Amino acid sequence: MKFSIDWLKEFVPVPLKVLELSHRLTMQGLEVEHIEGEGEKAVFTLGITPNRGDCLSLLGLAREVSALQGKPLVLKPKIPPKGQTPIKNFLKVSIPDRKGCPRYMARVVQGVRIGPSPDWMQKRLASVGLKAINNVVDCTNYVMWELGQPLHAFDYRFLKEGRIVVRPEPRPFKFVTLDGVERACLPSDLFICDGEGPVALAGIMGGANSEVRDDTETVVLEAAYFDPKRIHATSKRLQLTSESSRRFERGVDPNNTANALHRLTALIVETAGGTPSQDWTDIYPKKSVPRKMMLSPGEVKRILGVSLSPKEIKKTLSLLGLNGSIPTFRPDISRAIDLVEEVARLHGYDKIPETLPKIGMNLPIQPREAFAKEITAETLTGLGYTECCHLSFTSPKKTVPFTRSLTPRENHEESGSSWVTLSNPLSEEHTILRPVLISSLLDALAFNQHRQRKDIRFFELKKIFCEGKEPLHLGMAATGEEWPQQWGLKPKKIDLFSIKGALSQLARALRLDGLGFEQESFDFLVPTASCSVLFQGEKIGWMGLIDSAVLKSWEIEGDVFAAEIDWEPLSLGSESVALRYKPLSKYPFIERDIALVVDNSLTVQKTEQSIWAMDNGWIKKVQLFDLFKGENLPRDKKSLAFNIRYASFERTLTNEEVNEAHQRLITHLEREIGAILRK
Amino acid sequence: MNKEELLAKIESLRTEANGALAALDSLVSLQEFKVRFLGKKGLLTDILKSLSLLGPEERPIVGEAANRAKTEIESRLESLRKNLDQKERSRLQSQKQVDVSLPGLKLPRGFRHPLSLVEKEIESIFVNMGFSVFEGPDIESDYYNFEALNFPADHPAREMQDTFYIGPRTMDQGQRTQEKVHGPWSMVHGPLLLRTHTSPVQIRTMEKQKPPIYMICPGAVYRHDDDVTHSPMFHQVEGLMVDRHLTFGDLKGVLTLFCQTIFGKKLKTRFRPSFFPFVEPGAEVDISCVLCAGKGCRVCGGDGWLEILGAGMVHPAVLEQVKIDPKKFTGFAFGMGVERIAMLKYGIDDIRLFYQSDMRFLEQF
Repeated sequence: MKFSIDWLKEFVPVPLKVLELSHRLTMQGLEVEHIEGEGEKAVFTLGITPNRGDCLSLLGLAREVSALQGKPLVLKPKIPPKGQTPIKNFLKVSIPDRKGCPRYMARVVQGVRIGPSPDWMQKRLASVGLKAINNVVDCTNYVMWELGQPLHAFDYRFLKEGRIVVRPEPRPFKFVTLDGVERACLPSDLFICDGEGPVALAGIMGGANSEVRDDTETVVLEAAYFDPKRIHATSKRLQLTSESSRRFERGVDPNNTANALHRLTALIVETAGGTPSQDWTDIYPKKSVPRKMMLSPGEVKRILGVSLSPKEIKKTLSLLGLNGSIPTFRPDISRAIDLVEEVARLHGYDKIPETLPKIGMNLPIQPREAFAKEITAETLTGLGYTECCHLSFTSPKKTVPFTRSLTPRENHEESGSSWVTLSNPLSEEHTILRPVLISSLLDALAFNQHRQRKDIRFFELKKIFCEGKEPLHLGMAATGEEWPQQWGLKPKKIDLFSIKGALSQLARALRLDGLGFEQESFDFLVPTASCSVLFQGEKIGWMGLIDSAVLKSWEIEGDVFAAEIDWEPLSLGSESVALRYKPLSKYPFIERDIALVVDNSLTVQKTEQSIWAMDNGWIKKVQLFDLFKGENLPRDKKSLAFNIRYASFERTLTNEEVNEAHQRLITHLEREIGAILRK
Repeated sequence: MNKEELLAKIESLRTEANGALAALDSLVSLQEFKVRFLGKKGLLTDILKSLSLLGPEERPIVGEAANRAKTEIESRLESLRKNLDQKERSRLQSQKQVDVSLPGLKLPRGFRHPLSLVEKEIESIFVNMGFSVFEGPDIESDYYNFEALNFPADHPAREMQDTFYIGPRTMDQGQRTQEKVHGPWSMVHGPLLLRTHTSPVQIRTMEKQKPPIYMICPGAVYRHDDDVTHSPMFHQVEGLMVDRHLTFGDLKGVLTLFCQTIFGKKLKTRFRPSFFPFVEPGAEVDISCVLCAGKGCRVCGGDGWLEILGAGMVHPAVLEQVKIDPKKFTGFAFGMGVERIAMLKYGIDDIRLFYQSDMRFLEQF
């Protein structure tokens, strides 16, 4: 809402300097967003909160400005201008929809001369951002700005049968508003109709069929009060907001209608000539009256924490015209708490002393997964993964490559049916909520690669949206070198085992026994380097090398290793772990290295299982420290070298005992897995 | 052997030892010398063994001479050993000489997201004050996001927060059908939407728990908005305190304490009237500009104040909605944008930086 100081002064004396007025308005809840110009000509832009429809007028602002100077506003009532012909000779008004239109006033002015409005009016309208159109329309806007009452002028020629009927259309209906746009209207919308049909979308915008033109001679002036909810619903649905609808939906004063009509009539006669009708129509069967409302000083103290005397409270409220009853220009005040706010506002929030509450001791609780979340984030950052935060939105295009093989359904075409779609997305890129994190992580990798970053490691621990749930997922993606290029350390490329290692370390940090990894193919992963991730036997996600075809659509170069798991089972598992200490051994251990040549197809996991299987309780640790193929080994063989630690909790083992046990192990492995000891 | 012979022998041994000592140049030769002269079968021991052949008057004289010679040799030997030791250490050390200006080992390390850091800080301040932390779903119902929070239906207050709705794409924004989409998401409470604030968690908490309630709820929120200062998704921390005897003065006290903890003791706060349907009296909280300390600059738009929080006393209609008697209990609620605080704290000027995962940005935190 814009206003200029000189215009405001027509309603209330303003002795304050511009900056002082600005500060006091802001501190009274009418935030000054912007000031243009200086002194009398200064134009203020106010951010009016939606509850204060009354402040969308100079009249309402004058009340506030008067109150902040310690005086209630005094107004002279408008005297209706005199006229000639009785209104009934022109117009017959009926209101079948009484709920939608509690009050309707109309007056006719004959013999107007349409032309530009006077300079002073055009300047004022321009200063507050209103476009000058012609003298009659400008007058309606001018008075609306002054008094907050939206007004409309019809060309009498186009009102068929000289009738005005306020009613909805029984069927959906296309109506062309005066901005030339065709609007799809519904039976819930309220219209001003003539003898045939709609001529205006009530309270929002006039119709193109009845607007004032250059050759208009007789105008019908409308001042009405419409149901705010109806106006809002229609305006919102049609996405059609006007200065008129803005005021009606916030609530105008139904008892200010006559004042506005008289002011408008006088102003039109002054600027466009013509003769008003002798009288006017005013259909107002159920008059709104000020409601009684009391506020006890105890309530003020209870809410604000400051003691104000009954006299102070009464005086403060009277500054706004709140004298034991609530005037109809303040529809926002509906219960005692609203009056408490008015007291606080005028008393000044800054005058209420700061205190700290006295509360009983209590133990704050945190979400159950908060601890595991923190461990996860700290562990992964410690391992070189940077935390991401992406928008929850994505597109089907970016999602399809991943959800196809993750959706348990047979029919891939239907994989999208579990997605959460937005009915009003901002763009084609943001039409659904993420059912996976990996697509965002690839976005992030691409973004950085395109800015000359090569070594990148990201993780994200965030909600995904799928089938009515919002589970937390952990996504990881990495590409490039394991560590920065440096002296004294050989370069190493990130591979599948970088991710696997990080996941395993994470499990360790969460006090979990570990994760399972089982060879499995997914459409978006290279089949020879892809697996599912398991926790306590349940599949919780996947890990692998992203297929180059997928990377191509992201324009990512090089190998990208990634994983995405349902994180909540880890969190739950971690919570249930009761950490118990294991006694320390008093006795030394003995280590033996063993190099085995086995079939290429035999997994390390199986080999290790076989080593543990012959355990007589002495094997405490099995550590793979070398793996190689080729050289003088047969093509289908590989060499695995393990370090094996023997110890007993009862006594010190002798070299001979361990040698014997180790020999038995070798024999066992030769027999069980066909291993050949490599000399 | 008599006394004179022995004394002469000691003297010649001393001279010989001194001569040999001068020629020693390693710890090995030093050890050999020690065995030859001072060892159990060494030359000096031989002499001492012959003492028994002397008479009782002569014995102390010769003994003393022998001991003197022994002490002298030993002390020379010791100083020589130290000398050689020192030389040997220097030799070894010179082999280990390094250029300390060489870079240290660079193991990869990741970075926490600035929003996580700020959210953690906000949370810990409130938890230390006795607030619990609760979370809620991002996909909410109209009831929890608006209706229960005293947003009247068909009132422009709802448009303060442009809303994303869940459901099939529709050309006409007014016509939303939601028959199929949501599966288990409950439709009991009106149309589904992306929460526009984390305030629904207040309602969910108050439905389950009776006062006293001291809580905050952090989380992602969504608004139909996208430019340099607005993101369609951002993060909020909302707070709620409901108890007997809580006042607007307490609201001011708690929020000033919070602002001063996160931005510094010298900071000033300013409370001015504003409107949020679920609170009354409502307030907007400004802090003195963190950049210019209130003098006026580009960041604060020249007036020295920055908007940082929305707040207010919980509206009695909200308490009634969750069956808490507003005559017995009062409370206050507040909400802040995590991005906003992070931007002020770190001087970030574009909100989109938070979601792009640009390593050049993230590695600064």
